[in-house]
Amino acid sequence: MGKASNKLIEHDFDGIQEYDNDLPGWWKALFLITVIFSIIYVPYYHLAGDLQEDEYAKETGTYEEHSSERSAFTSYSSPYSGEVELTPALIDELEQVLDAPFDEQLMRSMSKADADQLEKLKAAFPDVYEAYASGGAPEPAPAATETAAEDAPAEDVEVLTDAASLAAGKKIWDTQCFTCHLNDGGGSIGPNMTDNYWIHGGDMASIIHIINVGVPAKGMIPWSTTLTAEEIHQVASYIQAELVGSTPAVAKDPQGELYDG
Amino acid sequence: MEMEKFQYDNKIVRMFFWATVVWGVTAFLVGLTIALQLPAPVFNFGTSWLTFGRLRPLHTNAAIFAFVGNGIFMGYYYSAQRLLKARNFSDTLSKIHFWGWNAIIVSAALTLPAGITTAKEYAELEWPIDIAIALVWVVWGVNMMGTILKRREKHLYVAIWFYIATFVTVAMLHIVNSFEVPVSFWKSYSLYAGVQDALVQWWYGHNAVAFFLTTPYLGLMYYYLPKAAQRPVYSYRLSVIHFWSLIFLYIWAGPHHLLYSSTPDWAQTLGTVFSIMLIAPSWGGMLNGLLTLRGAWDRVRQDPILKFMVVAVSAYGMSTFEGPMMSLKNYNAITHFTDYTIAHVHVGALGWNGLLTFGMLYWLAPRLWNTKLYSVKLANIHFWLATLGIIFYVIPMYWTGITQALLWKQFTPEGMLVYPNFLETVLQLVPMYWTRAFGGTLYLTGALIMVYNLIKTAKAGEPTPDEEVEAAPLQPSTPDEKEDHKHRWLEKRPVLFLAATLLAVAIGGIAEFVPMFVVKSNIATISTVTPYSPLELEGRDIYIKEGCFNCHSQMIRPFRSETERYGEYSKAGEYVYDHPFLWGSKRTGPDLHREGVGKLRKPDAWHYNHMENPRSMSPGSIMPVYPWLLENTNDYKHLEKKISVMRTLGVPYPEGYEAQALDDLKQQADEIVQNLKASGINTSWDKEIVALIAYLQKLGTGLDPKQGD
Repeated sequence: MGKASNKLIEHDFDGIQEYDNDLPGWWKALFLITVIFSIIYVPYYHLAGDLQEDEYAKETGTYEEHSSERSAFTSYSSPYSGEVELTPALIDELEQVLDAPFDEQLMRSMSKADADQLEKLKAAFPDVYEAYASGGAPEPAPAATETAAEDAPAEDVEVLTDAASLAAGKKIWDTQCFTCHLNDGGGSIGPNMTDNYWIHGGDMASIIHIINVGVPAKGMIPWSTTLTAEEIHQVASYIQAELVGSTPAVAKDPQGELYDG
Repeated sequence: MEMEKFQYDNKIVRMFFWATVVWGVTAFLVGLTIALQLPAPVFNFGTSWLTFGRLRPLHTNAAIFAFVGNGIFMGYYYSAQRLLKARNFSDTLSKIHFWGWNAIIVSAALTLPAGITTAKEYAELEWPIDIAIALVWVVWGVNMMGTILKRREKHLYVAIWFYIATFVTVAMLHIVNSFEVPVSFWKSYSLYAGVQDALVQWWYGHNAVAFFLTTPYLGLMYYYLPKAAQRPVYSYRLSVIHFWSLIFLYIWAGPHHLLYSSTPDWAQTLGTVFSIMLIAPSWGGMLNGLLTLRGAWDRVRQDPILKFMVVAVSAYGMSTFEGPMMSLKNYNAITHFTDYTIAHVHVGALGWNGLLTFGMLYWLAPRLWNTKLYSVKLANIHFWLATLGIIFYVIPMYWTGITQALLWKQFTPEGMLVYPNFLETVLQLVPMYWTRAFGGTLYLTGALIMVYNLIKTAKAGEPTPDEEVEAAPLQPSTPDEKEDHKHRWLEKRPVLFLAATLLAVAIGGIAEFVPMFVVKSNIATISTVTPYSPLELEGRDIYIKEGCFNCHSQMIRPFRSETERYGEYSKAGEYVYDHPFLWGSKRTGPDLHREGVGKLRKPDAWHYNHMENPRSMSPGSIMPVYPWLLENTNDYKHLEKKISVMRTLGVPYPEGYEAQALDDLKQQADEIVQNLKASGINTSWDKEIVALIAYLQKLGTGLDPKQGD
């Protein structure tokens, strides 16, 4: 602390007097340090460092030089959805931004697409779709954009029948799925799961696929970012093994087609 | 020299004294109610007037403008007359000031629970009340400047500097932030939209803290602390330096409320660096308070008034160090949107403002009733209850804030969120919410003991009549007058002082607003972002009325943990039609900016059931029930006016769209009614819930238009 002379100023306000003390030295030093910090901070962030878009790009593995100058469309990280007119320039840009060949990006889009979108992509890129459907699964997306492996509708998948798996499946059902399909599977916002009628197919692979990618237009959430592949397998098994064929308190009318697999 | 005889007005001080006490208890009681609503939604009482979304603004307004506001005026009217050696300029203005200010508070207490709000934090009151605030504030300013001009003390004491800065700056902040275009007597839309609205609002919001909760209280500290300690102020020079640096730097720091938001980086940087530079000026005030107690520390042990003041000044020092730390981006990434901020503001509000007010009340009561304090022991008990109350309040809230932020950011080794369901992160906090309510109960109990003590004191004494005093009249200054310090020159020139203060506080605002409003590249336009349809606009007004923004943000920050949870981070161009902006400042519930798209989109029926009872869709949810939304019908009588006001504000509705708006609204409402019907729900097109669903389903469609259909 600076030297306090404790010299009184000769004046008072309603009896309050003031000392003529100098400012404490450490206080002056503190002020100076914060000013110097601020002067360094500005160029540190704005010239040498990462502004928030670059910081985000690095965190998610989509960083490249000057990425903060990217336009609103390209910085939007969804893979191509088939909605925008495709020009060679756009393909170039997409390849650069996502740092992956365009076909590979398309396959990744397909793996994430809902049913409608998949149809569109299939129509627009039949060759790529064939490669994708025949198991030419895309390479994992770089770093963080990678999500759980997503099962495309393909080979038959076994129904888990062991008690532990079914119990795990029931727990997921009772904490997550019931809000739209009800505890007993009778259906309310979502369809009835006890009849054997299916909108998107009643085989295990289709059920798992729909759980993974959802039907966003109708409110079914894509669960692949919330549940692991194993958990999805468990809850799908619970549906097949326990719910289908049971009798709910109130059953929603059947929707879709009868499955006789 | 001939002495002039005059009187100090003590009656006006007593009026503000009781108003401070009554509103203080009210603010604490409402605060305790909303604290209980979080762990136990049943305390929302199932009625629209008492839900969290409507009571939380009532609590903040009551604490800031009613409790602290009346505390400022109480302390001002007592100290200013004596520091200036003059009776108040006009007793009539003093009375208008008192009744006007308290009528505004009563109007706030009636309109906020009714859902009448502009949605801008600490500026929620609607336009007629805004005008009343401006007028009453000017009444105070005229009364103050009038008193200053007829003073008998040549120089202005540091407390008066702070009063002047408070008057000038709050007037500027309030007027600029309240520009809004009325739709009806109780409804208006902010002149600004989106990012610009956010910048203006947090320039205001931050400086409401600075110039309503800080500068006037520093002024009060400079009077009551040396008075209570009977010691000289530690350093006049420190007063000068910290006063000017504080008011000049404070005004720039608003954007620290918008770090990692869609606000341009340059504005965020200004918010950060000016906050850091504020540490020393803020601590200057703390130092001058604490060092004034040198030689009086033995008395601090015995005198509850000094105890209140010491802890108050220490709390000021803590929160003004913590504030700059929270303005660093890496720390803000954790604290923002969590209860950490709630802890931070309560160190300031309960500690600095609350305890200093209690100290002043105990100091003033014997002087205003010409007696001794009824019980020093009860005052000591109050001190310990208040201090413990603060501790039981803030520690769980700091804990809660950091816990929740870490839960939000936790990833599994496979790169998935560990707590993808937002509710899981909330349920972890419930025990801490109970602890906080316990702390609030202690604080309230202490205040009630104070009320008893003060009433007993007042009853034991006689109200002091207006004090007879005499002082020499002010002698005109001579040009060659010798002064001990250069700053003394300015202290003799109150009008110039006021102008210099205005200049100091205007610079920061102008430097931030001009580029923000002039340079187009600050807000990149997005062609797919469309104005709200009539039904969505009406739904948005219900969202505002219910105060949804008090718990739900609409600002996804550019963090992987947020984009995984909510979708693509928010872009400035998405908010261009948002009058007012609804980014929110606290996530008690999840962000809703992409509620209508992607994996967050839910069926209309989900929203219908969820609003009726959130726990039917999300078991364990702490959200209040909103059954009245299913019952209330909307007559849409202001729809045409809303459309035309929005067009005035720059929203591109075609000319003449007013005539078509209701038909479009009905058509969109019918689609939702049909959707609900398919899920077995029967409702009609004019229910409030239908409009709210339309708005929720619109959220996020700006970047993802096809999903909205």
